Amino acid sequence: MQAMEVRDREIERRLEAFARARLSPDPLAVARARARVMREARLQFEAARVAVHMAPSVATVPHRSTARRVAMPLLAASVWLAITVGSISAASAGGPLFNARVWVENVFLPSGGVARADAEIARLDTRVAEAVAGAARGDVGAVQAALDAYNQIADEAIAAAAGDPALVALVSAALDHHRAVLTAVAAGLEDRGNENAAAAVEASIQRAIEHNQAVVNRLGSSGAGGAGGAGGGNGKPAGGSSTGGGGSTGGTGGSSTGGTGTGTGTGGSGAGAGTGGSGSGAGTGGGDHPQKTPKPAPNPTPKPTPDPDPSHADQPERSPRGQNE
Amino acid sequence: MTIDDAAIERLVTDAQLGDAWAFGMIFDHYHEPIYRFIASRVHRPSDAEDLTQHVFVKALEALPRYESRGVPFGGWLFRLARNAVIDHVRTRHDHAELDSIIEWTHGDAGPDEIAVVRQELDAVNAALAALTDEQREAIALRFFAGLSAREAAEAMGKQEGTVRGLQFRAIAALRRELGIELDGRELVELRPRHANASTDG
Repeated sequence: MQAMEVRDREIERRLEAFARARLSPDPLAVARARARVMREARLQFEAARVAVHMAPSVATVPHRSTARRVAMPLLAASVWLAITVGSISAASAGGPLFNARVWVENVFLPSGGVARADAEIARLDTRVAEAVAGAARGDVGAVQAALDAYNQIADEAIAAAAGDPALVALVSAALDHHRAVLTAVAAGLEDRGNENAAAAVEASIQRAIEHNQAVVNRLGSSGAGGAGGAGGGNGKPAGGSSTGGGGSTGGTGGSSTGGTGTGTGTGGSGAGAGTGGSGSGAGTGGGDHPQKTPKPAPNPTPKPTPDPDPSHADQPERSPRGQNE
Repeated sequence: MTIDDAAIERLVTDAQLGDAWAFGMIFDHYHEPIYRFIASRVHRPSDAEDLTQHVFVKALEALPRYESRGVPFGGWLFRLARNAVIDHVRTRHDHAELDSIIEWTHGDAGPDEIAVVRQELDAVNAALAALTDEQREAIALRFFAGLSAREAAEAMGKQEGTVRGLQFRAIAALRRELGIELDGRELVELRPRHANASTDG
């Protein structure tokens, strides 16, 4: 072991001599390398110092006051709400937001009383106006949507007015007027060139009229007989396919004029047998066109009140918006 | 080594905090060993100079990520140097030409002495050439760069015992190549063992 150490030292000496002679750097090259490396080091360290000083200021740039941070989301939410409400309010019948619009209208209705009845009637006026406008354009979807909403609102109006004869009379009068308008529109559609569209619109209007009539009948049966009779009997004899019952011979309701009639309607739904009595039985089952969908006659006999004459539709008591479109 | 390991660690810490002077001290301490190691591997002095400078620039960039964790800084730095040499040899494929080797140590020696020294250096060079790459690398790190066995192991990415084995076999091969035989007179020259690059590990 000791001898090996002696020989290792000899190897060490030779290797050290070799390194010193052939592996030593040129002092000038060392100086150049040191200058370059130190320049690089100073640049890098300086850059790091600048970065450290810049970091806090960079971090504070996006800092905003609490009020501004709260206000911005609120402002964005307000803009979004305004756009949404505006879009819903401007939704036309048959459009994708129409149902939302009807829902919003319903939400903001007064709780009850005359104010609610007025609001409901105003909504009904609007729906009729939309239906008339849609019919003028031949837009079956708009007419259908408007009249569906109309029927729904009419039911709600009845429910809200129930128990108050004055409100019932108010709603009933409005429904009579609407039915007259829709009847006139339906009659006018026959002259349209587009028979398919006209027929579809007419069918929608016809359904609305029938629903309207049913609503009126319910009003009559609820004890407001005199008022409930209004407008009854303006239907053409239903022939064999009246909704009043298969093959009924009567009109769609015991029509009367203000409950001043003496008899009760024959046939029909019998809704006219309210307290106020009903007028003389109107339709007696003409049966001239048993296969045709019954439609109201513009000038039925006996003449109902109010006058459903289309010529009078231009001056309604409550003029729906857009009626003249 | 004129600076102990603790002092090196302090310099490294200061350099990591942006102390250019501390990095300058590190450069002064490690430049020649790094250069020797690289020169022993690439042979051409100009390449060795460029690579040495490149190693220190790389060390400068990587210094913020250096964590001691028991790894000596010398080993970490020589690993950078070793990787630089490997990349250089892999991409350049050029090796030393004897004519490009510069000798610095002839001083005022006479022609006969110069001839003897040159003959001895050439013999060492030839003996080194007969070693395997790993043996030659172990010799370069331990004797030319003066690293401890632990630092050399870190630089080579091997176990310390593996490096000792490489060194032992390399020395045995050099002895054979250089004709250094055990004889009776050397056996008499028993000396106490002392710490140096060849025996401290």
